[in-house]
Amino acid sequence: MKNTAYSLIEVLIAGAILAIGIAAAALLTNSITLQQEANTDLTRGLNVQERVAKLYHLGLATNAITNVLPETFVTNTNALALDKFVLGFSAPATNNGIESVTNTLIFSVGSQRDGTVVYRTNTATLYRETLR
Amino acid sequence: MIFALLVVIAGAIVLAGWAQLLATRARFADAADDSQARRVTLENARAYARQYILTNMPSGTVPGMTNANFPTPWGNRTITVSNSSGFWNSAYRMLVSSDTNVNPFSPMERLGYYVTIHATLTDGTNNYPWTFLVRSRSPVAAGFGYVLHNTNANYTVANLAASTLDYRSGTNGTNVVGVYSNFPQVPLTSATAVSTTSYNGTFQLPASMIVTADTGITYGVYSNTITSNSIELTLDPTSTNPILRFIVPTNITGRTFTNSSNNSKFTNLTHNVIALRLSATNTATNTLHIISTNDNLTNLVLLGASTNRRIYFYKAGGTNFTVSTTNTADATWNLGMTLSNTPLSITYASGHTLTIIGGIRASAPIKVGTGNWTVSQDPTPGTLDDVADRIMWLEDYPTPQ
Repeated sequence: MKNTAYSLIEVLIAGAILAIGIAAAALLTNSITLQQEANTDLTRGLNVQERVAKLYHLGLATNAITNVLPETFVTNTNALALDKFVLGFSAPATNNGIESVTNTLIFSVGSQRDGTVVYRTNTATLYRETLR
Repeated sequence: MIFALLVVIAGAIVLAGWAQLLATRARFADAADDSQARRVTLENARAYARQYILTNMPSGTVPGMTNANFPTPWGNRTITVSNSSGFWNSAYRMLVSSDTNVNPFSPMERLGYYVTIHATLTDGTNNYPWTFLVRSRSPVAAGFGYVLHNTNANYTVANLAASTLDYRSGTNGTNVVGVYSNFPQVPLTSATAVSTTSYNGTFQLPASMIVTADTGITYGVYSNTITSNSIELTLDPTSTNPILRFIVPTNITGRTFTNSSNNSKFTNLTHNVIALRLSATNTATNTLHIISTNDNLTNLVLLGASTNRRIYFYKAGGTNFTVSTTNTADATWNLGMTLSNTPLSITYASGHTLTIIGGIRASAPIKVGTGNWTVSQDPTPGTLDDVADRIMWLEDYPTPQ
């Protein structure tokens, strides 16, 4: 009678291949999850900075902007966390009648495999009219 | 076997789709980074253009206004203007004061200006046609109920939860900071008359523009009697269609504006406009008491029932300014106010509504003390034009394509 079942070797080989695939997928998932978190944090940080710019363009005093935005701002990087930001402004300068400041926002952009949070420092030069 | 292959194929499709989705989200973050920078750059360019227009247009010479290319770090913003002669050119003037020969608050007397400037702004990648409107008409007279000017400090419209805006409705709530959510653009001004053809500075009262009443202008000639409790105003019965402009004496405080006599002198007046001005030196007058059970503001200064009479009120400086009344019923006042660096508080009878037909232009916080407060557009704002300020007014918007 013809034997139609798989041999033990075949099953082991197939199982090994499947295990490798599952392991690769798991590693990929982990990496993608970290990247996804980084992308989310980056998008959120950019959004915060754009709203900071908008309020500055509207004429608010720089020290009032943090009072308007709902996010939590801390004063130094030691107190930074995933949902907190460090917001800074340079002293205003005036050139050709235009007031300008350099806005710096430090925010988290995900974490490494060992759990270390990665931070990004984003700067933007903002201008607004002095006649307003 | 076939079933196993189908399962594998389906799994592969799901995995490929998932990977594509993740890749797309990753690209979105990169795209957001770039688009944010472009939007900020465009707003910087717009700010520069507004500053440039406010600085150069009033001079009348407009040097280099045609295809002005701004140097870095502005990113070579380009403004291409539709005219190059400045808005003092007679082509852009318009008659804004028809009832009297001049507007006492205008450096251009009875003339105003309205100039359209076409410009091109860039965000560093694309160019956008942009339109700037430079005008001299008071935004209050133009129908803007609230006009809050940018200052270096916060301005607030507080306790507006019980209030409404009939026009350009604003943000309601307690201690709201900023401009209204649906305001078309940030309104800007440039004031302080340096000469008759040049403005330079930030928002201020047009005090320096006011000419005296004895220079041949057809004001309603008035006299006033100040008692311990009130200020009585009297119009010259020989004047027709006068504008009564009353400058409150320095350091007077806590008085009631009224007229207890000579009522007959006002019966033939069909078009009274009253402008009260408290200068920056008159910081002691913080409270204006309006005694009236009638529902129009004519009783503020002139007894009578004419609803054509309108009030425009100016004040600069001072720690606070309060408008209050002894009314215990709903009321409607024809009122325009320009308040420079003066916090405003309107206190009205609790449970009742004060309707202001006109508007309030301010550079300081506005607060409702008690009662309700509604600001509505003046359906016939031409009268307010006669006494409203003529400070530069600039609006801009992306040119429709």
